[in-house]
Parts: sequence; structure tokens; C-alpha cells
Amino acid sequence: MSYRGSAAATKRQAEILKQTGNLCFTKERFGAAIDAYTEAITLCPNVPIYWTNRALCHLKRNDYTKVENDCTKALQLDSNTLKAHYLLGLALLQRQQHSLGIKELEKALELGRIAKGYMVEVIWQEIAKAKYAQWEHGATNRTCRLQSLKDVCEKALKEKYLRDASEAEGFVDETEKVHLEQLEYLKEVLNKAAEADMPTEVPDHLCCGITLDILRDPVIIPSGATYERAVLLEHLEKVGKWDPITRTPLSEHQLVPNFAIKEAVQAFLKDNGWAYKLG
Amino acid sequence: MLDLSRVQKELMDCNRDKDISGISVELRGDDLSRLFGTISGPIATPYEGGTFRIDIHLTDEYPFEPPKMQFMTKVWHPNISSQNGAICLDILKDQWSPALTIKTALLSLQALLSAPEPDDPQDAVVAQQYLRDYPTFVGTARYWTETFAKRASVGIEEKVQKLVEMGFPEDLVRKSLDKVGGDENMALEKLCSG
Repeated sequence: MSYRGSAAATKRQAEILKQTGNLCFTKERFGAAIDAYTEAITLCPNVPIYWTNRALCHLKRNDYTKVENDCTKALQLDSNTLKAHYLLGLALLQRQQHSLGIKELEKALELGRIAKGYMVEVIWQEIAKAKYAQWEHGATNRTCRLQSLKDVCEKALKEKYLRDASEAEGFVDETEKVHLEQLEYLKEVLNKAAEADMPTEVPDHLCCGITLDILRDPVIIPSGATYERAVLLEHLEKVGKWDPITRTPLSEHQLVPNFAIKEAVQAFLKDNGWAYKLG
Repeated sequence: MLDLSRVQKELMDCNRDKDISGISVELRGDDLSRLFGTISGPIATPYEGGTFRIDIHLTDEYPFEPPKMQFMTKVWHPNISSQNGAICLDILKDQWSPALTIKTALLSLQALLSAPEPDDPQDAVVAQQYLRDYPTFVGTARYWTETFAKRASVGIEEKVQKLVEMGFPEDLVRKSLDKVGGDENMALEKLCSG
């Protein structure tokens, strides 16, 4: 009895320390907040939120190794801790571990969707930002490589032309014509290759008819139209319980995930990273 | 929160084919919630040849609330107030749907110019005339188009210059023109009346 009593007291004490930490955090006294959370962790090391709250403080102080350590600990306690995946993702991105960071954020997004949209907008924006940066980096690289390939090819063609022209007396006109054609064709081929990184438009069938933006969590409704889940729910709540186009009655349970469109969006984004650019 | 990304996309989309649709949308300033639209009067109606400007205000709830629209150009039409340009159109009220856009709303206004609904009037005087004396209605509507909707299509800068040359300060000229929807005569009246 006395043991259980003291365990409860310890728990209570840890909760008070967490609240102290939260208060310090709101006042941006991150050092004091870390101390409070650390004490809470010492008392009750098995509560994930103490670890994730401390991780957030470390993130504010740009101490990414410590963010990683605390998040890893929280995930060992409960692998479905949304905030641990989220903060770990942010820390990994800061440490240039882009792919791993994005993977953590995607896991957080998945958990957010299960939790009725908790934090999904924030998480999605971080993912989009990271993916866009990743694409931009790759695109710059590819542009540089194409440019240097172009320079080398042009130089080689020119050398070949000069050699041919000196050997083919009397056929200089023909040699020059071939040379110019080759230059033109080279330009065409390289332009074609560069097109892959040119931002264009997201096709309409991958966009939501209300946000007009690329679909993230597409749902299909009985009329066959597909919308962004969060926005359609907002419509049902604010405007009315009807289909935005046909105006026939529609309720929340009639929303069905549209996996085909979701896959199509993912395939499109894989080849067109520029589409992650936030409006 | 007003969905800024959607409004930006709408603007781009609308102005891409404005030469074909005869519909365009522009910003009034830096604020994406204040816009004005332009529609051309439909062919074979008393509004043919006119360019009509519409004040558009988007609330924070847009697109879950309809855009607030009002004619800035004076127009003689049963469903549009001849006094203040207020519009009686169901999709701008209870029949709005977030699947509609500023462009589709402006297209509906264009359609409304083609097909007035005098049984559900905004301006009772105009509606009465439409029902009882159609030829006079057509004459008045055409006269209003000539008078108000054609001058408005002259470049705003020319109008500013003209009024400034008459001796009015430029910022006041611009403000007055903006208030009356770019109508030079109405702006002059406003400037003269103080």
C-alpha cells in the first residue's frame, strides 16, 4: 500500500515538473524547461511526452543530437509517438539527413491522419519544404552537368569539324552544313533533357476542385468526384451536408479514400519535385 | 483564413484565357481579398460592346462563403440595382458552392446579362419596364451601356491625366475614379461636388 502510494506520489511529482517545464517553455526559458523535464524523466523515465517535450526544447536551442537522442528514447517507449517522429524528422533534416528526415515526417503525417488530422498541415508543409529543397538541389546539379556536357560536346564537334575541313578540300560547304546540323541537334537533345526539370502545371485531374491544389489525402464521394479530405470535411461542416457539385445530400461516412489518385499524385511528385513548392 | 493559394491560382487561371472568355480579374491593391473583375457585354444583347467592372470582396471564409460582388459600372438590368450595382443572383447567396470560382461567378453574371430574370428582381423599376415596355427597356439598357460601360474601357491613365489637367490633385483623382469604378464623368461630378 505504501509502495503504491509512493509510486502515485512520484507520478504526481513528475506531472508537476512537466507543467513547470511547459510554463518555462512558453516563456522561452528553454534551459530551465530542460531542467524540469530532466527531473520528470528521472522520476518517471517511461513517459514519452517528457522526452518529446525536452526534445522540443533542444530543437529550439539547435541541439540536434540531443533532439535525436530524446526522440529515439520516446519511440522506444512507444513507436507511435507522433511528436517524436516529427521532431526527429526536423532534427535529421537540419543535419542534412534528408531522406531519413522525410521518412520520419511521413510517419508523423500518417499518425496525424489517423488522429483525425492532428498537426497534418504543419507536418505536410515541412515535408513539402524538404522535398522541394531536395528537388532544387538535384535540379541545379543536373543543370550544371548538362551544361558541362554541352561545352565538351561542342568543343569536340568543333575540333572534328576543323579536322574534316582541312582534309576535305573542295567539300568545305558540305562539311560545314553537317557541322551546323550536328550542333543544332545537340542543342535539341540537351533542351529535351533539361525539360524534365522545368516547372509546368499540375494536371487538373490531380488537383482538388476546392483547393485547386495538388491532392494530398484524396477522398472520392458517391458522385465520383475527388476532393481533399480536410477541405471537404470543412465544406460539410460550414456550408452544408451536400455534394459541392451535384448538391445531393452527402455525409461524412460516404467519403472513401481514393488510393488510385493518391498513387498517381505520388508518382507525379516523384518526377516533378517542383510541384512541392508551397503557394 | 482566406485560402490565398487558391485565390492566386484562380487569378492565374482566369487571366490565362481572358481574350477568349472576355472575363478577367485583377487585384485592387496588395490585398488578395479585394479584387475587381471585368466582363464584356454579351453579343446580341443591349449590353453588347460594353465592358462592365465588378467589385469583388472575398471574406476570410472564402471559398466556404460566396465572394461579395457588386457592379461598379452602372447597368440597366432587372436583377442589378441601377442605384448601387447590387446583384440578385442565387449562386452569390444561398446557392454558392465551394466548387464554384470567381470565374464561374463572373460567367454567371455574363449569363445573367443575356437572360434577365424579371420575376426575381433586384431593381423593381427596371423589372417593371422590362415586363411592360420591353422596347423602352432595351433602349434604356443600350443607352446606359453606351454612356457608362464604354467610357470605362478607356485607359485609366488617360482619364487620370485628363482630370489632373483640369486642375484636380492626382491622388484625389485616382481615389474618385476608383470609387466610381473608373467612370470619368462620375469622378468629375464627385470631384466638383467636393
